[in-house]
Amino acid sequence: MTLIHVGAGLIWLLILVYGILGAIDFGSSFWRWYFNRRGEWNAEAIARNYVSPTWELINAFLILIPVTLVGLFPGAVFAYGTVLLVPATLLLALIALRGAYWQFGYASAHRQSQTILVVGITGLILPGVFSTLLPLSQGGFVNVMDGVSRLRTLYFFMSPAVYLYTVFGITLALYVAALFLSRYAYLGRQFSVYARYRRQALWTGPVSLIAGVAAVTVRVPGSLNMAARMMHWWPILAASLASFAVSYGALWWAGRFGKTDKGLRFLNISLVFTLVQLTTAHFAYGLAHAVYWLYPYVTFANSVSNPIMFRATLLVLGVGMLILTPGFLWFRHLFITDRDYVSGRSTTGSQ
Amino acid sequence: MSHVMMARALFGITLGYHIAYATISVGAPMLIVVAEILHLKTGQEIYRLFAKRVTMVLVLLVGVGLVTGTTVAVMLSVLWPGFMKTVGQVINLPFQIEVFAFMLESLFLAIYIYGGQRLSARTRIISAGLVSVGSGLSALLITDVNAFMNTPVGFQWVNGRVTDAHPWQAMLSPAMPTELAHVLVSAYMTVGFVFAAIAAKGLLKRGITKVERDYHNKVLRLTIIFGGVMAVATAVIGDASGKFLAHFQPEKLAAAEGLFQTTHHAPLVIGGVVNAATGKVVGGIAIPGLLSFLATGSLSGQVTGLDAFPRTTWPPLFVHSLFDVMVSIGSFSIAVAGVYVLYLWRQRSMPRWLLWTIVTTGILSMGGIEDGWVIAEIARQPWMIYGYLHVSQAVTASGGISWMFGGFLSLYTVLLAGTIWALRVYFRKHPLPTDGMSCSTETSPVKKRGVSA
Ligand code: HDD
Ligand code: HEM
Ligand code: HEM
Repeated sequence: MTLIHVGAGLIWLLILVYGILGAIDFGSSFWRWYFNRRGEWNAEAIARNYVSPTWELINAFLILIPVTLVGLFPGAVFAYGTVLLVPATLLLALIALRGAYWQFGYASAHRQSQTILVVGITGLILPGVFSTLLPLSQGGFVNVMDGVSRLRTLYFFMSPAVYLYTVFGITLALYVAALFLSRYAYLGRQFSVYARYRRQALWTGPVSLIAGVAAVTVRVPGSLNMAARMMHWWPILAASLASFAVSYGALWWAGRFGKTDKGLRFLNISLVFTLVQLTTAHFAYGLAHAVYWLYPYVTFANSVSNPIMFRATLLVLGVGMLILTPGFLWFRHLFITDRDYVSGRSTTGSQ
Repeated sequence: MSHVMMARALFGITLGYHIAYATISVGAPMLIVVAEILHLKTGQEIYRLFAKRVTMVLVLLVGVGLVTGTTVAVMLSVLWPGFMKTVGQVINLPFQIEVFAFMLESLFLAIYIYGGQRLSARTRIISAGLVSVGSGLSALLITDVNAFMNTPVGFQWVNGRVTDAHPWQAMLSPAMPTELAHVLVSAYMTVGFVFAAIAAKGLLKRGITKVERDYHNKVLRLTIIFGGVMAVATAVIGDASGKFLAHFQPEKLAAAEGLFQTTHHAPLVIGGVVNAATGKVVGGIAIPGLLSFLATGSLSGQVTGLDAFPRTTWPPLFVHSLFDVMVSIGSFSIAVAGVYVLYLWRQRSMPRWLLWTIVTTGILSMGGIEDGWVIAEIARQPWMIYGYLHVSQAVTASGGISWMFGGFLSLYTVLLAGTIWALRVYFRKHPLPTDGMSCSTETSPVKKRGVSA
C-alpha cells in the first residue's frame, strides 16, 4: 500500500461520512414534510430540532470532498469537471434552492408550509441525484473525442442502472434518517414519535438493501464488472450482511420494550450496526472500484498531484480535524445528546 | 458572446453575488461581538437587542452565502478545469484550510444561536468571537488564492506544466499582505456603514417613540464609528496596495490610473475617460506629481506606463473609471463619518440631510466592494494567473454555458428577491419593543416558530 492508496482511502472515507450525515439530513427534511402533511406535529418537531443546527455543518463536509480531491487528485477533478458541467450545475441549483428556502423559512411562519415542501422534496431528490455519480464512475457513459471527455447524456438517462442507483440512494437516506430519528425521539422520551419513525425504518431498510444489491449487479456495456469485483472481497460483504441482520433484529426487538432505557439500548445497537453495515459495504465497493476514479480513463496514478502537495493536503486534513474535535464534541453534547434539547424543552435561546 | 466571454460572465455574476453575502458574513459577527461586549460592560439591554437583530440578519444571509459559495466552488472546477488542474498542484491549501475555517464558523454559529439560555454571557462572546474568526479566515484564505493569481510564486512553469511546487511558499505571495488586509478592513467598513444606514433609516421614520429613537441613536453611534475607523484603515491600506501594484503589477496600476507613458513626476488624473486610440485621458483633473508620490513615496519617482507592455496584454482601460469610483467612495465615507462625529461632539441632533447621506453611504460602500473586485479581476486580463496562464487557456471545453448563464441568473434573481422579502417580513413581524427594552418581549413570539422553525 502506498501513500496514494492512503489518500484515495481517505477521500472514500470522507464520502462515507458525508453520505451518512447527508442521508440523515436529507432524509430528515423529507420526513419532516411527510409528517407535517399528516398533521403529526410532534414527529415533525423532532426532525426540525435535529436539522436546524446541523445542516450548515453538513454542507461544509460536502465542500471538503471536491476540495480535497483537487489537492490529492487534480486530474480526477479535471475529468469530472469536464464531464459533469451540466449535471453538476443542476445539482447545485437544487442545493441552492434548498439552502435558501430553509433559511428564508426563519423569517415568517406564514410561508412555513412552502419552505417545508421545497426542503422536503429536494431532500428526497438529492440523495438520488448524488447516487447517480456511482454508475457514472463505473464507466460506459463517457466518450472521449479529440481528447475531450463527454457524457453520453441520453444514454445515461435511459440506463436502468442509473435509476436503480437512484432508488437505492433515496431509500437508503430515508432508512438511515428514520432509524436515527427514532432513536433521537426515544432519547427525548417522545415515544409515540419514536414508534412512527421506527415503522418507517422497518420497511425502508430492506427496500434499500434490495435496491443496492440490484444496482451493483446490473451491468452497463463497457463498465467495470462490479458484482464480480465485489465478490472478490466477500468476507467484507458477509460482515456487512450480518450487520444488517443484527441491526434490523435489534430494531425489531426494540419494539417490545415500551418506555424503558432497555429499548434505548437496542436502538443504540441497531444504529451502531447500521454504521458497521454501511462502512463495510462502502469499503467493499470502494476496494472493488479501485484503482479507478473514472473507468477506464482516470486512475489513482494518472490523476495524482505532486508529492509535496499531496503530503501537505493530508497534513492540513489531519490538523484541521484535530483542532475542530473539541468543537464537534461540544456541538454533539448540545444538540445530539441533550435530552431536553431533543424534546424541545430547553429554550431556543438567542432568538 | 464568445464561449470564453460567456464563462467569464457567468463566473463574474456568481462571484459578484457571493461577495455581497460573504461581506456581510465577515463583518456581522464582528459587530455582534462588539455589541455583546458592550452589553456585558454597560449592562444596557439595547446592545443585546442589537446583537440579536444582527444575528437574525446573519442567519438569513448565511444560508445564501453558503449556497452561492458552494456554487462558486463547483463552478471553479467545471468552468475552469484548466485552472484547477494548475492550481491544484500549487495553491489548493488555502481552499483546504478554508473548509475548516468555515466549519469553525458554522459550528459556533449554531452554538451561539441554538445554545440559547444554556450559554452564559461570556460563552456567548467566545462563541460569537469564534464565528468572527471563522468567517474572517474564510475570506482571507480564499482571497489568498486570488493574491497568488496576481503574483504567482512557489513553482516552476515548464511547457505549460507545473513542476517543483512549493505549496506553503505559494500561500505567501507578494500580493498577500496588502490584498488580505484591504479585503478584511473593507468588509468591516462596509458592514459598519450598512448597519448605520439601517439605523439612520429608522431615525428618519416619522412618529417614532422615544425608545426607538434611543435605540437607533445608540446603534448609529456604534456602527458609524466602527465603519469610520475601518474606512480610514481601508484608505491607508489601499494606498499600500497602490505601491504594491507599482512594484509587482505595474500594468494594472497603469490601466487603473490611465498612464500611457512611463515617466517621472507622473500626475494623478482624477475622473476623465481613457481613450486607448489616442493614448490620452479625455477630461479629468490632473494633479502633477501625485501619482508618483502615491506609487513610490516621492514626487519624482518613476511610474511604469502602459507603453512598457505589448498592446495584446493591456487590460480593458475603463478600469480607470472604476478605480476613481472606488477611491471616491472611500474618501466620501470617511468624510461622512467625520461630519457625524463633529455633530456628536457638538451634541447637536442629527439633521435629516445627514441621516439621508448615511443611508446613501451604506449602499455606496457595498458598491465599493463590488467595484473593487471588478477592478482586481478585470485589470488582470488577459491573464488568469498573471504571466503564466491566459483565461482562454483555462476555460472548459464543454458547451452549453449560455443556457446555464440564463438559469443561474434567474436563480440569483429569485434568491435576491427572497432575501429582501425575508428580511422585510422578519423585521415587520418583529418591531422594536416599545415598552422599555426588555428582551423577553422580543423573543417570546419567536420562541415557538422563530429560528427553530
Ligand atoms: C468598500 C470597499 C472599498 C473601498 C472604499 C476601497 N477599496 Fe480598494 N478594494 C476593495 C474595496 C475597497 C476590495 C473589494 O477589497 C479590493 C478588490 C480586490 C482586493 O484585493 O480588494 C480592492 C482593491 C484595491 C486595489 C487593487 C489591488 C489588486 O488588484 O491587487 C487598490 C490599488 C485599491 N483597492 C486601493 C484603494 C484605495 C487607494 C482606496 C481609497 C480609499 C480604496 N481602495 C478604497
Ligand atoms: C468575491 C470577490 C470576487 C469577485 C466579485 C470576482 C469577480 C470576478 C469577475 C467579474 C470576473 C470576470 C473577469 C473578467 O471578465 O475579466 C472574475 C474572473 C475570475 N476570478 Fe474573480 N472575483 C472575486 C474573487 C476571486 C477569487 C477569490 C478567486 C480565486 C480564488 C477568483 C478567481 C477568478 C477566476 C479564476 C476568474 C476567471 C478568469 C478571469 O476572467 O480573469 N476570483 N472574477
Ligand atoms: C473563487 C472564489 C470563492 C470560492 C470558491 C468560495 C467558496 C465558498 C464556499 C464553498 C463557501 C461555503 C462554505 C462551505 O460550505 O464550506 C463560501 C462561503 C464564504 N465565503 Fe466564499 N468563495 C469565494 C470567494 C470569496 C471571497 C472573495 C470572500 C471574501 C472576501 C469569501 C468569503 C466567504 C465567507 C465569509 C463565507 C462564509 C459564508 C457565510 O457564512 O455566509 N468568499 N465560499
